[in-house]
Amino acid sequence: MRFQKTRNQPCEKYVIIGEGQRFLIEKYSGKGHCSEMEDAKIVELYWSRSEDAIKESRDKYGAYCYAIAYNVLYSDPDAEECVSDTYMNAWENIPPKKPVLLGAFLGKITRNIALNRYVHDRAQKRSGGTEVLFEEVEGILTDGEDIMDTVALRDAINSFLGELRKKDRVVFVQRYWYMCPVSDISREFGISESAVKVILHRTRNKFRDYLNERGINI
Amino acid sequence: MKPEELFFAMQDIDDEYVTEAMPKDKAAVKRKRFIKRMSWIAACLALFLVNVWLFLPPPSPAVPDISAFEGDPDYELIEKINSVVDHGEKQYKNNLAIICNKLGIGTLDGDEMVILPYEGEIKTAYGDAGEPGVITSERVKVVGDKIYYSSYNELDISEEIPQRVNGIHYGGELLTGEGNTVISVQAGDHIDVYDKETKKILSYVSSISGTLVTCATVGESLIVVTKWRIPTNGDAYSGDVLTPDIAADGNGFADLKNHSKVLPDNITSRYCITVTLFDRNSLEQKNAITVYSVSNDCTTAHITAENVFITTSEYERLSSDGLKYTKEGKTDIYRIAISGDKLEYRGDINIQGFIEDESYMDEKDGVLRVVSENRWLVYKKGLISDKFFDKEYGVSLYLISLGDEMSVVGSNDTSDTLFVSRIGEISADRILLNDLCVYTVGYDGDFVYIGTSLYPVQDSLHSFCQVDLSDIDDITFKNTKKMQWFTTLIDYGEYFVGVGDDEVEICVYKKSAEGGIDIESVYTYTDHSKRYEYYMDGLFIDRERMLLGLRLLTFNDKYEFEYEVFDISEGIPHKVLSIPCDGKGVAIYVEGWVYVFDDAGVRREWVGES
Repeated sequence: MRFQKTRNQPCEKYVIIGEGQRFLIEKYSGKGHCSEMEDAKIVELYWSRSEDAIKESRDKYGAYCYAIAYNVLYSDPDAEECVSDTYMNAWENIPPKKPVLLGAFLGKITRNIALNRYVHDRAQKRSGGTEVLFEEVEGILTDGEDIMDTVALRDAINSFLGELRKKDRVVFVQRYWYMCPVSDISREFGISESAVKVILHRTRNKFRDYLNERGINI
Repeated sequence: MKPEELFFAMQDIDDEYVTEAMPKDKAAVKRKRFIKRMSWIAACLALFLVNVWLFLPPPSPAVPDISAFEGDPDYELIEKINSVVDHGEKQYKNNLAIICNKLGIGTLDGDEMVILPYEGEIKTAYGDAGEPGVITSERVKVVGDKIYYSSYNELDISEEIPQRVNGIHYGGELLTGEGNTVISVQAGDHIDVYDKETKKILSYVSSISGTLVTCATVGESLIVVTKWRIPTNGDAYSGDVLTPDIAADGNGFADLKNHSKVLPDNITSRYCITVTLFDRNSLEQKNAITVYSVSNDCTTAHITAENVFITTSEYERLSSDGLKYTKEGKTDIYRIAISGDKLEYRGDINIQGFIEDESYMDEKDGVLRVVSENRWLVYKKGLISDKFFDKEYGVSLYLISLGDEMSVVGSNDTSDTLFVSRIGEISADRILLNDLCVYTVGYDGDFVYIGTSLYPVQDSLHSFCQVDLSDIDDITFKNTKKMQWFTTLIDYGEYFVGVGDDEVEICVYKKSAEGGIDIESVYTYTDHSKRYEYYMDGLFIDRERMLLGLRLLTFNDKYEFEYEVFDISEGIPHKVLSIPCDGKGVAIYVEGWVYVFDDAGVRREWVGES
């Protein structure tokens, strides 16, 4: 069992990961017990069709989801709307789903909604930050026939991420999944923006080579 | 594949990686954005409030609590005075102006500095303002065979070699030239009467409230004019603070005796002027009058045998004209009559223009004659401070009847107050009304002489004007048409002498049989290497011997002074003596000798008796 300390929530928590089970325990911070509900309990609320599920989700992951949406759309009202849609989407999908990591679950929904909205609205309003991201990954893409097996691609990505050093992986995911600005990543890691760009550049090259080695053209 | 498709493909990466890379900062993006937004709002609000504060007028000074004095007979007056912001103190337009002033930004520009009076300025006469029967103060006095001078005690000139006598230190203004005593008035707060034989103090006043404006002896009386300010300290508000203090013969402080108050209807200032009358020998204080609520800008006083005239000049703002407005120079003249050992307030009058010193005034046959310099300053309104924009000058001559109350008299009066129109209207000759300013004024019987200048003075367009007042129904004006720049005018009986500063210029005019001067008779002496120090202690006048002594500053970088003596007995300024001075020397003529006192000591030179 290993303890992974996270500070992404208002109160300090430890994610306990081990033996195929993942759950959160709250740690008493000394400044008052954390009032946020555990993911499992929130999920239970969804299952019992209690509207408190949305309220608890908003309290615990509202800002997190907002950040993801905002990073894609760069618009306050659009990001707010995406977050609202996220709760509706979660309400419709739980049940039958029973996510263990509710944050990641909600984050994925938000990201998906935001990306769809961005692509849909792209012709009208382009976000500079997102466009830059698209340009960054163009080096990975080939002119060849696109892979049609998205499952194979997803597995390849997961496999690739698993082979990366943790730091490089987190930087990569923050940039291309969370779509964080380079400046935020550099601030979080305490390194220069140039260093972040170097990490991203090398990781992109590795990713391209990784896919090439496996005959995956994207 | 399109880039966005790759991003969609990454959507389903393992939750573990998503959770692992959960940005710490990003979770708080919304909060941070909120804080950032609120910070901007707060900053804008703060900026707005700061701007509002900057352009608000500064708060009035704290008013002392005077509740402890309720029940005092003068409580109503105390209340009025307590609420007054001192007139004459610099008033700032807003808080930004205060800050700019502290940083040295937006201060008065050079032109304005020249023409605005200094706060609390008290002018001493540059001219010869002596009146019959009045002994005005001097720095050097001759009493019998002794010369008194503040820095050198006394000099016994009865011996072959004059002996300096130690014993009593004389200071300030010296008054009497008669009897057995010398009166020394020290800068307004100390008056001593000495016995010149025994060198002992006969009587003294150790303190009198205020700053000395002027002093003189009239008959057996000593008149002292002082200016003072009612304190702002609340503790000082008692009944007696409204009456100046005096400490005589070591008896401690007491209110002035027989003190009268002259109070205007509207109290606008804490400044007051007090005229105190003493017996000149015993220094017994006999009478006193205080005029309350006077301007603190420019003050002078003129003592005649029958009256004390006090003037305070200041600028009054006239109505605005769009983005500009004008300030006009105005002078209040207060008259206090001397009747034996009594003083009596006899009214006041307000005239246009500034009175720079007491030589601008002269009393003759119940009429006060006053020359004033009209000034109009035009300002442009500004956010921080109003900016001086333009100025106009003029000269006015007033004849003020001294009946029971003062009033302006005259026949060609076109307004309610002006008697003699501005000189420029009489003379069409290159003197423009709005550009004339006054440099010096001299009176000689029915004639008034005015040394004028076109502004700016650097143009050296100066003129010497003569006004004949012998018939007030037919006033005539003559201009010498000479470019003469007089700062001092002296009546020598047969001749009239004008002395100019900058480069030394002495003009001697012969008086005509009809009175006044013959403007064609001028004889001029000039010295381009020196300048005249135009203060009253910088010259001596001996009318009997027809000598004029001037302290001159040499135009070099060593700041060297010389004392030069001119004999004008033949109508031509003839230099008879030149003595280098160590510092600012003063001199006096006594029985053929000119004594010069300076930082190095005293020396004398023989110039001969008449």
